[in-house]
Amino acid sequence: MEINEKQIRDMIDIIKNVEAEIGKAIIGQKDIVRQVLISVLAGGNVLLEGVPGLGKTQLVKTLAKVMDLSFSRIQFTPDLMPADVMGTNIIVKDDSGNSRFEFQKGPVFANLVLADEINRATPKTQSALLEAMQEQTVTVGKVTYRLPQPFLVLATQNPIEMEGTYPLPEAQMDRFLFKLSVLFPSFDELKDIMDITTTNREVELNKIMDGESILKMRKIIREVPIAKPVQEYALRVVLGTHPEIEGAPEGTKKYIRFGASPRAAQAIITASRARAVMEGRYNVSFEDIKYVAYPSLRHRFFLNFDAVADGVTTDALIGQLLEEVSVY
Amino acid sequence: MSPTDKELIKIIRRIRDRLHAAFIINSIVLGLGFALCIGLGLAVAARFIPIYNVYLMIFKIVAAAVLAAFLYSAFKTPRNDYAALRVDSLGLQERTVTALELIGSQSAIAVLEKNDALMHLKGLDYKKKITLKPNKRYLLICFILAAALLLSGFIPNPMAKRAEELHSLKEKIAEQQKKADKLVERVKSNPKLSEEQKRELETKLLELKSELKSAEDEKEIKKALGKTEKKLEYIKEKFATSEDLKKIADVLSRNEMTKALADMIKNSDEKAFKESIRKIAEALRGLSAVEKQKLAEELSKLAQEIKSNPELSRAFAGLAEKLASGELGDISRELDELSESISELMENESIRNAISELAKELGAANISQRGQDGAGHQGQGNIPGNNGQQGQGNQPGGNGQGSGRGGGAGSGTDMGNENQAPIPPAGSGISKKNDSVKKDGEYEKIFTPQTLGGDGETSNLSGNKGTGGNVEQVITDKSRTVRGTSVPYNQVVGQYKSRAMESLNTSDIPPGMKDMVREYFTSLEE
Repeated sequence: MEINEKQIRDMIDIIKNVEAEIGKAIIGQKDIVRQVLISVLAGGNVLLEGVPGLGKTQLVKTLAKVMDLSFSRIQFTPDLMPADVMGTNIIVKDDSGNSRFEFQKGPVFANLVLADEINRATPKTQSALLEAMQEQTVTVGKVTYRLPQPFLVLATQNPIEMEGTYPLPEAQMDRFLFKLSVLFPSFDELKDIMDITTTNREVELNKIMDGESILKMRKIIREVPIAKPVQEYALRVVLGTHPEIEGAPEGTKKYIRFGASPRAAQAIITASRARAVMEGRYNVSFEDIKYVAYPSLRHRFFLNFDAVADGVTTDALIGQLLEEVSVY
Repeated sequence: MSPTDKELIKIIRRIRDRLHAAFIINSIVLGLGFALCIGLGLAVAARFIPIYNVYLMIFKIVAAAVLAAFLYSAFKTPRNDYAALRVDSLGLQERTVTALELIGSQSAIAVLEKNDALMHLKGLDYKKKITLKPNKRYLLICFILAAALLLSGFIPNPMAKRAEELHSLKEKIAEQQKKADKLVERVKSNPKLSEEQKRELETKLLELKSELKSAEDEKEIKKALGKTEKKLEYIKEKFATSEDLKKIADVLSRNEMTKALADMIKNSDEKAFKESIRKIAEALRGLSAVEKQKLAEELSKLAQEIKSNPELSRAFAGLAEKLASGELGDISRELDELSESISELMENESIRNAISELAKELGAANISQRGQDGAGHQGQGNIPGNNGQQGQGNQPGGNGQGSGRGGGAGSGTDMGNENQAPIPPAGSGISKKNDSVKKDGEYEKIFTPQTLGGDGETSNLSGNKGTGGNVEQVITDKSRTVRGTSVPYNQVVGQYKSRAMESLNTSDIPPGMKDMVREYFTSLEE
């Protein structure tokens, strides 16, 4: 694809407008909005973690509206079956009265899929999403169906209620580009939320972009140059999560059980490119790497018992790692 | 390359040069600080341990550190990518380093990125941010260190004099080492010495050298000097005594024809001697019968006297025989043997002289070292002969043989002090330090007859058993009062040793026993 200067400049403007439009409906959570947008542009799925009522579902709905994307929401429950997500073959009668099987598409066939409380479903149903998230296809019987593009899963999970939940397997966690922690709003933000949601005031959202422009942007973003020292820094950070590697930081050796997979490096590089463009730059900086390292890594390495006992969090370890790994 | 690329490279190079200059300046300051730190440490250490010319040393260290820092930093030019990264760290968010990697690329995003980087670079006042002023903290540290160093120079150093003395001693040792080297060379090239002798001498000399080399502190230096003196004595003994040579020179000087040869021996002119002795055959033939006879007698006598040197004795005896017979014939063999043996003696004499000289100098250095021990150290020496001066006559009546010997011995003590080296005279006692070595009272006392080394005369009394004989009587005064005293042995051991060493050279003692005697006296001094 031939990229020209105008396309790049337009893209930067569109992204800024999308951010501003979402800001109308989502009060506060600027970082979460930005990180979700980065995921959309980088083409990755997002796992949103936070207590109920923080506007996770609202965010996804707003995103779908502003981006003019098809949206479906799946509420995950323990009795949810894979077919409820993917769809199933049903017997239908044609005009001539003959019966035949026809594939009835499930809610996963949308551009934006909100997998609400994903950890409440059984592993069987959770794993049904694996193919959709990674390959962006659905296979039922012997037929593989391609999901609409762009395709993005935004899953939410509640970190408090662990009763009757099925923690996501590591393989599935690795398929999320970002894991975002949605924090409780500040006083002013909460006040603004009340003003919007408890009155008749309605927020009118404009469609700023569509699915096709997202796909074009993804291609442009992949062209954003990244200097060798910056790329090497990202790789050193990922390698720094591996306790078995010689020269690993002390924190890693002490608290990490398994390090991040190569997908983490892919996620950091791709997401940092998107972030650079959103910042109005044509190159990736160390700051971009540091910014995306938190959401890219926090679900990709696993802490050991010592970390849990000492109250060490993944974010604290990532922060330490980013400081310890030299940028030159 | 596009104009943007060229401009980018130009700016990056300028930044790189500025970074290099800043690096050189900071390296010099850092090197200076480091050297001043060491210098201050040395200045403080010099107050406790003797360090010769410490401020000159500090100056040299500072100069070397500054030069090394300059050379190191001058040749360590930063790379363009490093310069780009550094300038990016000033808020350009890796635009420059990315642009540098994109030089030559004409894709839309690359062009955009390079233009963006160029715009930001132009907007950056890098001269202000990359300053050529040295790091203020380093500079402050340097100033503090320099001031402390300067101040320390005004405080009197109690060890300065001591350091100077030690330095001169070390220089002397180095000189001795060189001399020992030369001696080794001479021993190696001496064809008269057997391989075994050479090996032994070389080993001793090399041991001596390494001991001198390994001597690091005052105590070791002293010890090494002492050992060296002893070893040199041992080495000297390995060479034939010069007595024979003196006798030969004496005998040869009596005859007009051989007088020149005697002079050559005295002057140790080996080469001239060899040349002259070849010519002497003809001259000998020209001698009258009487002269030949006279010379033959003298040479024959000489051969008898130098029997301890069989080769030489044989050569002289052979020559004397031929002269006596008047039939000189072919005397080249005798003359060759003579020439060779005398040359050997001359060479040995020359080595002995060199060793003596070395030993003398080492002795002087050791004495000077003793004198540096400060007021608390003292040397003691017994000077024999001053008070005694008496003769004693034994009167064995008419029976057998008797001997009378006059002698006297006195004792004196030289006290050493800081400025004056106590030079122990012949027969000195043990030099010691008050704080570390035994006091006089702690040494075992021995009886000394006070006659040792006296200058009395010896009389031989002859007579036959049962028939009486001559009586020779020497009347002395104070004969009873100086019969001897009990003194700590350390006061007389040196005197005893000195006498023993003299006896070793003059008496006919088997060579194996000489070492034993030497070791015994050495052990007494320890």
